Amino acid sequence: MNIVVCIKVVIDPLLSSTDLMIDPVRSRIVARESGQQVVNGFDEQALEAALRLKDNIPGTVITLMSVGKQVPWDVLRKLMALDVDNALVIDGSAGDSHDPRVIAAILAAAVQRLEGVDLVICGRQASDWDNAQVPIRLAGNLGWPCLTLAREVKMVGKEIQVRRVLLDGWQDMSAKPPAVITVTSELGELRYPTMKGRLAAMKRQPNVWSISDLGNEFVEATELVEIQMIHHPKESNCHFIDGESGQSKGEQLAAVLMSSGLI
Amino acid sequence: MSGIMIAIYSDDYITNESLFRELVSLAKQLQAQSHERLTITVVGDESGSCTQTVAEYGEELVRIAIKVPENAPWPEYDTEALVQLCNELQPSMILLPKTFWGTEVAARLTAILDGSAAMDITAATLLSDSLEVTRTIFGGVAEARLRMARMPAVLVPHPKIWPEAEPLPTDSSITLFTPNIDLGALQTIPKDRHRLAQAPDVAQARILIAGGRGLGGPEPFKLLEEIASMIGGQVAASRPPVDSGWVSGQIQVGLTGKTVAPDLYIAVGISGAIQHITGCYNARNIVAINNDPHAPIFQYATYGVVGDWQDVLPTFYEALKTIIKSSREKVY
Ligand SMILES: Cc1cc2nc3c(=O)[nH]c(=O)nc-3n(C[C@H](O)[C@H](O)[C@H](O)COP(=O)(O)OP(=O)(O)OC[C@H]3O[C@@H](n4cnc5c(N)ncnc54)[C@H](O)[C@@H]3O)c2cc1C
Repeated sequence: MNIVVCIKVVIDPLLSSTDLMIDPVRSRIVARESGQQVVNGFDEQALEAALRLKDNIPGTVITLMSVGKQVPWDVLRKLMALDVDNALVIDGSAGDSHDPRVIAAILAAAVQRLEGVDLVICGRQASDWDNAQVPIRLAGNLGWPCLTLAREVKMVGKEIQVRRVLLDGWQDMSAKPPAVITVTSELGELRYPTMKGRLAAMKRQPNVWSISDLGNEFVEATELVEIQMIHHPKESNCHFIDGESGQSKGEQLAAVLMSSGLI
Repeated sequence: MSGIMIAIYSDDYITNESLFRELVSLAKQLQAQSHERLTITVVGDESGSCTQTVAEYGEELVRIAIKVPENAPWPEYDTEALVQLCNELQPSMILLPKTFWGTEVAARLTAILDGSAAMDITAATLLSDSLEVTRTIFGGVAEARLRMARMPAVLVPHPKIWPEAEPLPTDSSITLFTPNIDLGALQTIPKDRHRLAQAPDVAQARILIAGGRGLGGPEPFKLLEEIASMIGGQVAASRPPVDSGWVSGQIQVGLTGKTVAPDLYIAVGISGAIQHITGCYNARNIVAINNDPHAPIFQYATYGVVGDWQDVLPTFYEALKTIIKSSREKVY
């Protein structure tokens, strides 16, 4: 089986707002310090789903695919320490667009050019824009079925089957490959690489394609007018409950919440 | 293209009525500017009771019900039905709730109709020649202003931004829309479904006591449950307890969970990552119990306890019991 896993490199979502700023030239949010980029968490889990399929299906080939202007290889390379066969970087400034219509069209063109892909696995959404649209639009562009929010992915006969998370439980859904799948956090964390894998990854390089080679023109559906930071933390005015021990603080807290009428 | 369409899923309506009422407010705001016809479409309402209630939100609304067959793939069928309806009505704006269903249908509809979509919007303005929206990004630390360049514009509002519309009693007429869909031609196939007991909606609670990874397992959530039921509250959680299967995803608060705004939000063993805070930021009071004095949650808290929950919670519970008991004795 031939699996493509889509990977977006994002700014570490756990950075606090004070560590972020707006790059006025490119109208995007950047970290104040360098080296704060990570693989989007849900995309790591998409890779884990692919690796689990590969564990069970001999001959499976996994290709990582990432689009953007100068995708940082040092971030992606960490994933190459796992049982990943290829990495394909699609380079060009259109790849930095905020707009899912553009990104999905680029990915679709690349998947078509790769040929013979059975499955594209994506994270359910990226932690910077949280659109949850690229995978579904990608499936639309390819004309493939899209199975979403998977916490489990497996082949059952000739069908790919996912256990999709619902608010009040789960549902199994299946489709005939080729298909696009999105993965949610309930699937579990990405496995750790071995030391041997890590050393081997140091020597690996991606294939690089240029967006302009993919031919199409990629047109945004939404125009980005402006980005601005909105300060979340209020002036920190937390009233800390004093006490000799945790036990006495617990009692104090009960008294404070009752007397202030909050309970 | 002209017209504003609200589309909701009947199951979402039952568990998330406030989201629907917020959609009505947004729709009416847009309608006041654009004077376009407003349609509400309810998808999947077998009994018809949801459509009846929904019909009470104003006389200028056109109400349309779409029934979904038992074995139809979710939400591919729903999307296909809405696409057919949109082809007929040609709405320029489609509003959907921020639920699993709404988020996914938004993406699927936008893809098929090749429109533009904006998720998590906090403001929408019709300019003379375009629609501009503001939406949160980066988990809520920033916002972006977008001009919707393709029609239809598919909008999913951030919860608890628009007020909840009140029903206006009217004579409601409901049209049934029957799409022409060959189930065999759809691409996804539904299989087994497992439903958990319906948890009460955390978005409606006045008091929430939320547990995080710091609780270490499912067991301590029972203590939270006991405290909650004593003080008339409900239990909520951050994402890790849901991912680990300790609690149901229905009670997750945050970016990919519910947005809540209770009077009191007690966060136990929760660090205060922005993706969590964005879901509870509008709580009137946040109380944090955490053994790390530097945990970001304290920046948002009115009251903080630095300590191990295993020490703090049991005495908190006992003290509450005593105080509540003695105050009852005083009353009677
Ligand atoms: C795109 C995206 C979407 C997300 N959506 C959500 C979402 O909807 N909701 C959500 O919650 N998260 C979400 N997250 C995850 C989020 O970034 C954090 O990882 C998560 O909120 C952390 O949960 P936590 O605070 O329970 O765990 P941790 O961050 O691990 O914090 C545990 C806390 O418990 C404290 N603790 C440990 N032991 C004890 C003890 N014995 N007594 C007292 N305190 C103790 C620790 O000091 C720590 O502060 C999302 C992330 C991304 C990238």
